Amino acid sequence: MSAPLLHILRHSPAGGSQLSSCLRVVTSRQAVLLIEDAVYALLPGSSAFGSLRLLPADIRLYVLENDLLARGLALDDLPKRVQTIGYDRMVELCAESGKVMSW
Amino acid sequence: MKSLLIITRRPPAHLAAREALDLALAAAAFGVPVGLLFMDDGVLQLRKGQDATLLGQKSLTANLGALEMYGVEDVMVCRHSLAERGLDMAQCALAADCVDNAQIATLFDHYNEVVSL
Repeated sequence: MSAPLLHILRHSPAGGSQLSSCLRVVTSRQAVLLIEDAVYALLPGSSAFGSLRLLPADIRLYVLENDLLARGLALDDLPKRVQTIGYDRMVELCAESGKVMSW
Repeated sequence: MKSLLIITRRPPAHLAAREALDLALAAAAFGVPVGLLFMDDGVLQLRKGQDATLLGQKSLTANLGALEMYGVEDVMVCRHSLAERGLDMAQCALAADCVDNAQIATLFDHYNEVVSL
């Protein structure tokens, strides 16, 4: 059994179909990492945020802390299941994932 | 030999559409088992009746036609993306397997490497 897939999203959820397409095909035990403008998917009350919340609990959710804070999103507003990570951890995640799908 | 899944997600006028096809052909030429999945706006590459020369571009049709010749047999198209754009296989210039979300999810396990363009 290979290490689970890591999905990396980097585009704003309003600007394209990346998020919705990813959410259509992501499966259990995989991980989703939000970087760059994709962190806007964590805006409380947005429709993207609503669909992220519906992901099964065994799908891990990560967000790059710098990209989040740089865009003025608050750590306090994040659901508990979202793990904020730094660049070091992002590199580790990529290395330990069997495959990476960049949307 | 590791197998490669190429997901092409850009409309035909976009450079990335051609690059994805080139990658598929190049990989197949080197004997790499290749799967090619048209997804999101990538399904628009398959529409019949396109004329890229009007935009001063080369047509993708020849490259699409070369897939079979180069041995790229696993050509797939996302059913959801087609439907979203009001398309069906009858309007596509290439014979491809229609795959649903669950089948796409299993593709990630099936292939050794995944590239999205």
